[in-house]
Amino acid sequence: MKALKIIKPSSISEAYEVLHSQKKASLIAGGLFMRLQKKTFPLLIDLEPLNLNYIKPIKDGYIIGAMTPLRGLEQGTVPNALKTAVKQISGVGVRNMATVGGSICGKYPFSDINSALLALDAYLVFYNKGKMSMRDFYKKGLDDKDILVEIYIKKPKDSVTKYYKKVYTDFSLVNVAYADDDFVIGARPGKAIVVEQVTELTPDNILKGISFKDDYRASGEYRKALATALIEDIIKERGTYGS
Amino acid sequence: MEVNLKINGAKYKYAAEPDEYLIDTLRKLGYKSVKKGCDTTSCGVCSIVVDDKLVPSCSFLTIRADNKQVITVEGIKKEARKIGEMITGEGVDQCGFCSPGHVMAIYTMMKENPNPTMEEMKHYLAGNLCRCSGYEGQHRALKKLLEVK
Repeated sequence: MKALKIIKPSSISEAYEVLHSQKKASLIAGGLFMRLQKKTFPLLIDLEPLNLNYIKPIKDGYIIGAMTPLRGLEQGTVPNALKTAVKQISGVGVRNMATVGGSICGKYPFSDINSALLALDAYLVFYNKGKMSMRDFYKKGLDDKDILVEIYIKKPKDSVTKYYKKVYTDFSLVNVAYADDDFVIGARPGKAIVVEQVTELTPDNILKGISFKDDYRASGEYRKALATALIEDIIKERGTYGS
Repeated sequence: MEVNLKINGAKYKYAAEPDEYLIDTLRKLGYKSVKKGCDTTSCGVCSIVVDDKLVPSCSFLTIRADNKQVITVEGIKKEARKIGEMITGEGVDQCGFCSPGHVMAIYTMMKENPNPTMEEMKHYLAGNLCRCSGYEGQHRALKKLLEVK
């Protein structure tokens, strides 16, 4: 990554104004994946000074600031699906920097945390657009540049994220997130797919119509076998994970 | 952008490029313990501490270190020596390239969790790769070090 200019805004409204002042202005959250892009950014807006690093427990759930690092989720009070999802995303150092908002807005298909948020039916709160469900955002995206401010998650009764990695801190070959009988299959390696409230819970019913593809990490067939095994475990263990 | 850096207690006024990362700034200022490994945020070799948090310096923008406390191995000589002696005592070190990052990770782990279990230790240090060893020696050394404490 190359950057020609970087500014530190003092408020979200200022960040939003600058974002729209130039067509090629971009936001920078944790900046980890951004750094690996072979791209020159004429203007970067640093979201770090905006104090969006918080987890607030509310009556029926949680409000999480978009700049909360993954390590914050690992150590904070959040649903089990989120805690288990972030645990093996790279090392502690990376988790101290990578943010939940950055993972969401990157819409990374390999992401464990996005699968968890989709299963939890999280709501995203944007500065201009306001509230939008994560499931809608993941499918359709936004029609205009905006700033993700916080994420609202309703407290689930029972949730977990499971994955298979070749190495402890590697990307998942496949992941399965579960929250109150909704399943999400991610890292197929394509975009995560939400499967809502299947009447008879079996791996075959849950995976009906979901395709898995080959890439240099694993074959689609192998991924499907892994997903089946992870779902079998969840069906057996569900009810024991807790919120 | 001018930033106020506090590195191992020393203060600097530094003109940082917008896309400059701490690893380059630190090496420019003479903190050569900080090494570039994979340069893709995967190996943990460049780990340093910023405001008590372990971070990969290859990805930490220098302008984000403005008015924050940066610590490298040079700033924790006593602790680093103790950790280093334990590791070499187990005969682990071969090339030693991963050691500065590893030492920083062990340093923050001991601060955050002074009495970790073996599993917690492995979980905390999983982001620091060593390509010479199989980690067994490091784990032996750490077990001894933490029992010594």
